[in-house]
Amino acid sequence: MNAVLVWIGVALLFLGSLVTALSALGLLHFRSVYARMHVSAKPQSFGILLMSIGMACALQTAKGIAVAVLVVALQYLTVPISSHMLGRAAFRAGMEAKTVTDEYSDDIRHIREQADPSAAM
Amino acid sequence: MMTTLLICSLIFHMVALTLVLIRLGKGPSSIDRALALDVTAAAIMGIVMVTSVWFLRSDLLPLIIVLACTGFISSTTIARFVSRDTEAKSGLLSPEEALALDQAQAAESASDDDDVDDGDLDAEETNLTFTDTLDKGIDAGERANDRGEEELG
Repeated sequence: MNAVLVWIGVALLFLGSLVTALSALGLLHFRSVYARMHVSAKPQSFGILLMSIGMACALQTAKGIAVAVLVVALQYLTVPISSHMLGRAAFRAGMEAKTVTDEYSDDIRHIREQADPSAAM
Repeated sequence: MMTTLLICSLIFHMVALTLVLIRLGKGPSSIDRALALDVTAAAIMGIVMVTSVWFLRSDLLPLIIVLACTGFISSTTIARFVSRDTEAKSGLLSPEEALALDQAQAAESASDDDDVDDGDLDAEETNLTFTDTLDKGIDAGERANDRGEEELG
């Protein structure tokens, strides 16, 4: 066992858990759904990435490295899916997105004008 | 020293789970609760990782893979059904009326599919008339938002 690698691994695990704790704090603090969505994606992607690298460094076994790679791959495949679905559901349930540009609403207006030209504003 | 760092990691995870639990109880919408569930899954994965490093237990590793595979299902399911949920709860329509309206809209959109270009925005939901659903949803959601902001103060 390489002692330096173990130290690096434990430090990375510590940093990853710090990311998780801070994002939970942000989840409690932010007031809009989209801001909470932004902050809740961090431990799922970045925190798990840090902790997987840390685990692989600390365990230093083939099984540990394989599990770390697989977990990071799975998280980076599934987290965007669930985030996208949640954001879409939030917008369609009428949560107001206070953003500078709002292309989705422009698209909806475009479809509405094409469907019913007489009601176009 | 190394054990101290690992204990600190576990404490951070514990704090995170506590804060997430508060958000899970407060809501105010089911989407916030789904986000809290996502963070909970990530925190549990972190706890298992720290434990497996601390006690050198590589038999815990499959648990992490299972959590990574299934963690997203809960929030995706909630997201799939939340829009219909808010529409039914808004008091605009009873479930039977909503179903009848859906069927009428499906028949209507099937009949004039030729001259309406839906684009690829709602390709997966061609049996719903997109804009009508959204209009109702926005009205209901604005009321829900107002309520939520009053509650949060």
